[in-house]
Amino acid sequence: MAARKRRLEVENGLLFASLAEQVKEPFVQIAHAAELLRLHPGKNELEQLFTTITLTSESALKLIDGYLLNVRLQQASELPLEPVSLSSILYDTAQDLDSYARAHDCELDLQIKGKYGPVMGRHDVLRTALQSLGYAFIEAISQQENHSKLTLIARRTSKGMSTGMYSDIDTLSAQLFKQAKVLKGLARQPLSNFTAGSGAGVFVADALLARLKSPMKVSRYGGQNGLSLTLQSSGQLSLV
Amino acid sequence: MIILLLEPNRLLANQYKGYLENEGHKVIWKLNAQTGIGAADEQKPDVVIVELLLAGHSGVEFLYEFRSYSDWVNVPVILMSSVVQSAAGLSDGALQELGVNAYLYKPELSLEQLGRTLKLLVPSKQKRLKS
Repeated sequence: MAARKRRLEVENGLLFASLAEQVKEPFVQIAHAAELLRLHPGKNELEQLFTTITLTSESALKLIDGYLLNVRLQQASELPLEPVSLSSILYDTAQDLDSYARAHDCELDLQIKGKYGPVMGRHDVLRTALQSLGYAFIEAISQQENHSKLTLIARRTSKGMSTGMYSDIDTLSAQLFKQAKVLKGLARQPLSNFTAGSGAGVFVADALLARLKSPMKVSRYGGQNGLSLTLQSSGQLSLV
Repeated sequence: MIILLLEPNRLLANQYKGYLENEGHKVIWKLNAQTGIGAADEQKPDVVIVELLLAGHSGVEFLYEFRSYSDWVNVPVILMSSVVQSAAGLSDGALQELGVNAYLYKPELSLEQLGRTLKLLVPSKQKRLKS
C-alpha cells in the first residue's frame, strides 16, 4: 500500500512537471495577445487575437482538467467500467477539437468504420483522454512544414474496438513512445522527433487510459502512424 | 531588417511576426532547423531568432550548423525558450561558444522587450563589422 502510494506520488510529480512546462506557452500567447491589443487597439487582427486567447486558454484548462481527473481516479483502487458509446465520444471529441485544429491549419477527419454496440469504459475518462491526445497531435502536426491531417478512427478488430488518432508524422514509433514514457517530466523534449515541448497531452491521455486498463499503443492504420487503444465490447443489447 | 524566425508554435509565431512586421521588419518564419538553414541561405537575414525546442533537430543543433558557415559567423542570434537557461543546461560559456547574443525566457518576455533587444543587437553587429 505504501509502495503504491509512493509510486503514484512520483508518477504524479513527473506528470505535473510535464504539464507545467506545457502550459507555459498558452500563458505566453495570452500575454502577447493582451500586449498586441494594448499596442494596436482597433486593428483588424482583433478577432484573431480573441480567438487565440479563447483557444489557448481552453486547451490549457482541458489539459489541467485531465491531470486532475487522473489524480482523482487514483483515489479509488478499482474503477468500475460501464457501457459507453464510442461513436458519440468520438463525435464529441472531434467537435471539441475542431476550432483548435482550424487555428493550427490542421485538417480533422473522423472515421467510424462499421456499426457496433457499446464498449466498456468511462465516458468522462475517454473523452478527456482523447481531448488531451487530440490537442497534442494538433500541435505536433502544426509543427510540420507540410501540413497534415489528424484522423480520429474507431474500428472493429479481432481484440475488440480500437480507437485512436493518426497522422502522417512518420517519426512516431513504439520505441520513441516507450523511451518518452521513461523521460516524461525529466527531459525537455521526451517526444523530440514527434513534437517540440513536453508532450504533456500524450502523457495525460496515457495516464487516464491506464486507469481503464486500456493502455495506449503506437499503431499504424491506413498508411498513417498513431496512438490507439482497444476497448472491449459491452454485452449490453445494442439497438443499431 | 530581415529577421529569420524559427518557432514551432504557429499561434506564437503569428504574434511575433505580426509585432515585428508592424515595427517595419521583414520576417521569414520557419518551423524547423532544416528549413531554417535553407531560408538563411536564400534570404540572408540580419538577425536570427530561434526557439530552443524545435521538433526534430533542436535550436542548438540548428546553431551548430548555422555557425559552421563563414558567411553567418557574425549574424546576431537570439535564442528563446519557455525553459529557463539553467534548466536548459546551457551555461553562459556554452551560449558564447554558439554565438548566442541573447537568451530570452519567453514567460518573462514582452514583445516590446524583444523589439528593444533586436535594436540593441543589430547596430552592435554593424559596428563590429566595420571595425
